[in-house]
Amino acid sequence: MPDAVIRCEALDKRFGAVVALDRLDLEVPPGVVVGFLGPNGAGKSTTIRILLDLARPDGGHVEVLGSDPRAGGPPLRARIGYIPGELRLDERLTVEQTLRSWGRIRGGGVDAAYVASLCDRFSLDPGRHTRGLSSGNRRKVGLVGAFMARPELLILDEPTGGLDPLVQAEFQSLVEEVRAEGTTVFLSSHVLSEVQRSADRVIVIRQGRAVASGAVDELRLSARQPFTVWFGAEAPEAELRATSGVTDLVVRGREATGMVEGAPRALLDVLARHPVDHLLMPEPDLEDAFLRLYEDEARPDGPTDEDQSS
Amino acid sequence: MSGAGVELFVRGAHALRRSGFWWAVGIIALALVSVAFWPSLEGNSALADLTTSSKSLLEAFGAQDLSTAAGYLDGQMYALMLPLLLSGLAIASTSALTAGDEDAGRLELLQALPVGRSAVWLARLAAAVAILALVTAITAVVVALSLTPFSLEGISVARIVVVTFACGALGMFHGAVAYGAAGAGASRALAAGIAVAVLVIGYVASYLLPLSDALEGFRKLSPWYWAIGTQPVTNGIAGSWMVLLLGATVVLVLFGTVAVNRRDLRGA
Repeated sequence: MPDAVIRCEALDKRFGAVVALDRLDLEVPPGVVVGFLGPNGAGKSTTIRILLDLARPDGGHVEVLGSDPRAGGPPLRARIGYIPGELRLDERLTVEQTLRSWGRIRGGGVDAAYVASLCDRFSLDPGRHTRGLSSGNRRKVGLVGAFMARPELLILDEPTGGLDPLVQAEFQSLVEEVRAEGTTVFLSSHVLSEVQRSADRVIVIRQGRAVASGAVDELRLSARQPFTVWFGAEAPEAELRATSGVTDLVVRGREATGMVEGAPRALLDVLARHPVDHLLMPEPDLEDAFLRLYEDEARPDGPTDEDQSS
Repeated sequence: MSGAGVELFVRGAHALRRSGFWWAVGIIALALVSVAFWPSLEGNSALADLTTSSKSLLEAFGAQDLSTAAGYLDGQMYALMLPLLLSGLAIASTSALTAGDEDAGRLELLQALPVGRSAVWLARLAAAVAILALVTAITAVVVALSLTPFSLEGISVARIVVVTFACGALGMFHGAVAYGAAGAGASRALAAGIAVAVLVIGYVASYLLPLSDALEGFRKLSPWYWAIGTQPVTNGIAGSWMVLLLGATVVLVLFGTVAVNRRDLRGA
């Protein structure tokens, strides 16, 4: 196993005068789930198309599972499962015919029982014609197609758009299962919430450059976490305001809401000294953390681009 | 062909089955109507007069001598209508399966599977050629079986088969033009448009320019002339010109295949 499953160095891609990728550097280690985040038009799909040899870079170096995508050819793509952002199916076929056709093009070796179990998990009826499928059901067909050959690397471009929450949850547990088996997952999205549950690491791309990367756990620590506390008596407003990390505090009688930055230890110490009836602390909003990061990165010609892309 | 190649070919042929059926219906109808009218036109003196009085007009449509069965079949079907229709079928099928599916984004997922670009594109071309060959073969059989019942005398079955397949070869050449253009990155409309332009220019060079003696030499630049000469049923097919046509077809297919391997695929 190579030390990186995906490696891009100074990758350039232009479409006429438009710069799609601008010396993009990227590295995905084996066996992890990496979220590839950026606003629409940042270059996510262009990067992915280069990884699959659907597009060719104008400059730089790219390596997938140890090979150049063009030189690696079909044997390399046999090790990759992919779902494109814009999924167009052959509308002349049923779901089952579509999946079988992909299996035959893959040269057989696709476990029919596994395909059936994937369809079952995604509540996808194999007998249906692809023409009448909703966009969510089409994505399910694409997801089954990506997972069905048990590839070493999954490249998923906006995989859960249009899926209902139950199916999204099924998708997340499937990603966790294949990761446990050693599969590397490269998951692109323009919304963090789509990847924050599954991803170990996140890479942020903006205007064709990687502007930030890091572990989701680290990001979680640096994120601001919302909290709401209902006290058994009047809320200790002065004490809360003096607590380190607490911002945006609003106190209404026995109820206090606010945000806490970093680890919430100081806040918990304060709460431990008072009668607390109820405490609500939802998942930290990583989206908010990233938006603030974007804002930092948006400063023109700032040196921070270089500092944080490593 | 590998299992993947067979699958790609079958999917391509499957995609063409409906349009291929209706092209076949039209072309076979032309063949049947052509042969069925011969008994009532044979020996018609007006037709013989037309042949002498409006020679240039008839020649512009590929007809020269409507008074013999072979000349009638040439003028009515083999010199113009059949090559035109078979070329239309080849251009429509090839451009739909290559540039058309690329335009629609249907090649994106296919080309991300473990299969080479050449394999996908050649399998799709093979599907278009197979449909063309099938329609050509049915046409040859229909005309050959009609020779005796409709008293088209003096024409051998072998001549009909060879000439019908020569028209099919001209169709394949124009399909290869569309394939070459699609491989180089043309959209479906552009690829088909370029192939139709080559088809029309070839017709002009083969039939219209030679009406002026000074321009007759241009005929030899026309794929139409390479495929069927001037009066194919009357005169037969020239093997050396056919070799040129097939050679040009192979070059166009190689060009398209090399070109598509050297570029980005269009995304959805």
